[in-house]
Amino acid sequence: MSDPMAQFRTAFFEEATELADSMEATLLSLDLAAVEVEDLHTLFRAAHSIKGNAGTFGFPAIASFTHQLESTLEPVRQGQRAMTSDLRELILQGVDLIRSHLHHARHDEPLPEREQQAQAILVVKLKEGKDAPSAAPAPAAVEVKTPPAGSSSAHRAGTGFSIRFEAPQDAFRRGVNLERLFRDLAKLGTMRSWPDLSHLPVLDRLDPEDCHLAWDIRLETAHPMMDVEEVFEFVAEGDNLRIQSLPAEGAVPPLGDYLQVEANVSPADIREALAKQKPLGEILVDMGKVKPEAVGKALEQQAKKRTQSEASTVRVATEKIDRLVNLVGELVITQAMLAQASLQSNSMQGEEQMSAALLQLDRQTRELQERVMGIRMVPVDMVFSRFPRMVHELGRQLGKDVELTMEGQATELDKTFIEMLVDPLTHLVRNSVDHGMEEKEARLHSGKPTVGTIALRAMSRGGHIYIEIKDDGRGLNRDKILQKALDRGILPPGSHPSDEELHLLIFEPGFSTVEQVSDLSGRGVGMDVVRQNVRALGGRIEVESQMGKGTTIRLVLPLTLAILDGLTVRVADETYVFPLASVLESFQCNDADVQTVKGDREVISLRGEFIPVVRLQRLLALGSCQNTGRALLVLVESEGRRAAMAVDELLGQQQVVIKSLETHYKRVEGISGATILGDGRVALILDVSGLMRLEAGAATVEV
Amino acid sequence: MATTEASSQALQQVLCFALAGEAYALPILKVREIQAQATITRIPKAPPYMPGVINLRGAIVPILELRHRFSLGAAPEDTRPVIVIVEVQGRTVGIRVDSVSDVLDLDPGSIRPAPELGTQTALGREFIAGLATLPGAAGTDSMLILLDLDRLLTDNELVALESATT
Repeated sequence: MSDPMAQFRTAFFEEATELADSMEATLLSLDLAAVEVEDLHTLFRAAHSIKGNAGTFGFPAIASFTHQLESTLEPVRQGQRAMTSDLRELILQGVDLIRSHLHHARHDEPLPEREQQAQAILVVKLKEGKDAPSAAPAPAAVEVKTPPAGSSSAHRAGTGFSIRFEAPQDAFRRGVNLERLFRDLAKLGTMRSWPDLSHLPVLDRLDPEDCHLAWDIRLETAHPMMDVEEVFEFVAEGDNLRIQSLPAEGAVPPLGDYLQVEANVSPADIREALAKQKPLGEILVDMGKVKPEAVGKALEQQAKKRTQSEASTVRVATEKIDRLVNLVGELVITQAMLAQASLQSNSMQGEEQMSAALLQLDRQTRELQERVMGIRMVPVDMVFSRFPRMVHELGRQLGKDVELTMEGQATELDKTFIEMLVDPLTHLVRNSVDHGMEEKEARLHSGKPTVGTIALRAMSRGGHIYIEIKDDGRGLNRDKILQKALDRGILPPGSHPSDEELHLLIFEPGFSTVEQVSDLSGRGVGMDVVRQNVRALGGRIEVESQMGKGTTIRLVLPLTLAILDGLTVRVADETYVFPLASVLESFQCNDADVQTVKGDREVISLRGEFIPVVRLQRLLALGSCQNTGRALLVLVESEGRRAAMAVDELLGQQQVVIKSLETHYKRVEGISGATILGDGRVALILDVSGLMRLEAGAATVEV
Repeated sequence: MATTEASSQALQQVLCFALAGEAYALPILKVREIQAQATITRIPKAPPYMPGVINLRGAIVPILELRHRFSLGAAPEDTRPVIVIVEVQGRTVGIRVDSVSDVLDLDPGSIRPAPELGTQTALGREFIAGLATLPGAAGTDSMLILLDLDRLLTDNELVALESATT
């Protein structure tokens, strides 16, 4: 986009989204019995700012809709209208519509019809509630081009509608006067119509009492969509009537629109022509220039890029930047010190200076690293803030009283994490309300308070971020999960998994123990996504549950994606890095302790538990192992499974900077990335769960 | 072939290098730099012609073992291979060759299309952009093989593997 406004628009979208969020949060925190005037002011101000900005940046549709909200809020804030729970719901819906407006405007799309209709309905409702006499004079602060209040406030910014009307087949028989319909329509504004006779059957099949007519109508009017719909009231049935707003003022209409007006091309013809249009990919495939799979892949990449560019900015506190600037200043000084010291490096004094400067450099580099990482960190509240609303809605829908408590919202997380956590956390919270919580009666029965509690907690501890979703609901049903797992063949018959392993099964794709699938959850799709995303972030999931007491699901995530605490090991003559998070312990054992199962699978008994031994040298195809009689094993754990990895030497523990292998190469099974060691060599970072899969795969192939 | 002609028009300066006694050349515009031998970290289960990666100032760059690619056998003990870093379609790859000789200006007109080499040859015709003759010192002309880098780096299993794993 070469539009100089583009960058301001981006800022607008961000700010407006934040304002909408704050409106929602304020609405939800309102105590309806004793409404704080300050809260009402906050609401009003937020709506006002969105409206003003939307007008300035050329989104009249958003501006005029927000104006409706604002004028609804005005009498409330003046104390002329009470904030009722109904009104709160309406305004919440309004906030949703603003969001959806913003979303579509960001992608340069018009608001989908369904939402336009929802908007029209909402606007009417907002007005209805207005206590008639206090129809306060239009708010003073109308800075935006909106049509004069009263005449048609539901009118969107468009200058009219494009209508497709297919007359019902029995129109003549029912005595519908189509002529009058068009006359009425013409009264609303300037109308232009194109009859579509394409549905007419051949003459000898034509029943003269049937109506096969359709019209494409272009109506330029200032009337709201409702008025237009009214005209068609008696003939609209099913989907025979489609009304769309003409493109908003300022927006460039598509070519078809011009052709309609200028060259009198009928919309039906335009539709037909458009239907012949094919996506570029398809044309290329037809020409035999490219394979369909390649096109699919390219489309995926495009979509990925699109979502990336959408969320590619971070707002950083000025304070954070100031500290960085200071630090860079200090670095410059240190550099000068080093340069000075190197000039007299053969003297005693120079040497001292040098080591002092190096020490300082070390400290500064570390601090700089931390602070730069800190820029990417945003408070977890960015995800959490949406849940009060969600829980509120869900509880209402399901008839459950649920209270949500949150803790540690200020905990900072990498921005990438936040984005990838939205879906998983939404699923988990939704699941808690839907499945975790019992019905009110059931709660009373088991002696629990009728109001259920869901606690969201975020904390940072020992290089990890913990996010907990804890409910006091019915807990997981161990037996049911086990039965289901056996039925579905996820577990081999006769197995006795630990509670931990069993609980993690709820994250298997398609695994749901709910008898009834509701439209909220229970299809066993969401939990799979949770696991995928958490795994992609290098984290793990823990589940604690007690029948009848509740469930706690804990996501354990690394602090950041870019740096990892690693254990460096030597295998053959290569260096590898284990993520320290997955290492439990390391120990030496004699080969005699390693037992063979089924011929070639090796296990070792450790404190009564049999753990598979993975010979890394063989698995990574680094040549055959020489038998030294002793083995050095690193006990690792991932997703509740353990394995002992045989290595040749432990080199040490260090923080490593993660580099992508995929940038110039490709993904490698069992390897999650690469890093650069102190001596400049590349070391590969091992993907523990990938290795386990690899080993399992190798074993099945051999069997 | 159409592509041969198209690329020969664009060829002007080429970097010449030796591989098992033969002279090869790459379009200089694709070459980013030349590196002395760096330590290669092996990638598990990688194909032998792409044995591992090196650290190129912080970037992890895979190495293409050209001798393996063309089935020319391992380099003799006394050669000290050089890595030519090239950039093709946004991907940086290091190509390991025996030695780099010099940069030549080639007249696009002197480049001939490669003759049919038969399907048994490892160095298939598809990797050759053309052949050029170099006037030798004693009047004996020598032959220079111009490689088609895009084909070499995109037409191989690297891409096939990638699409299989993603």
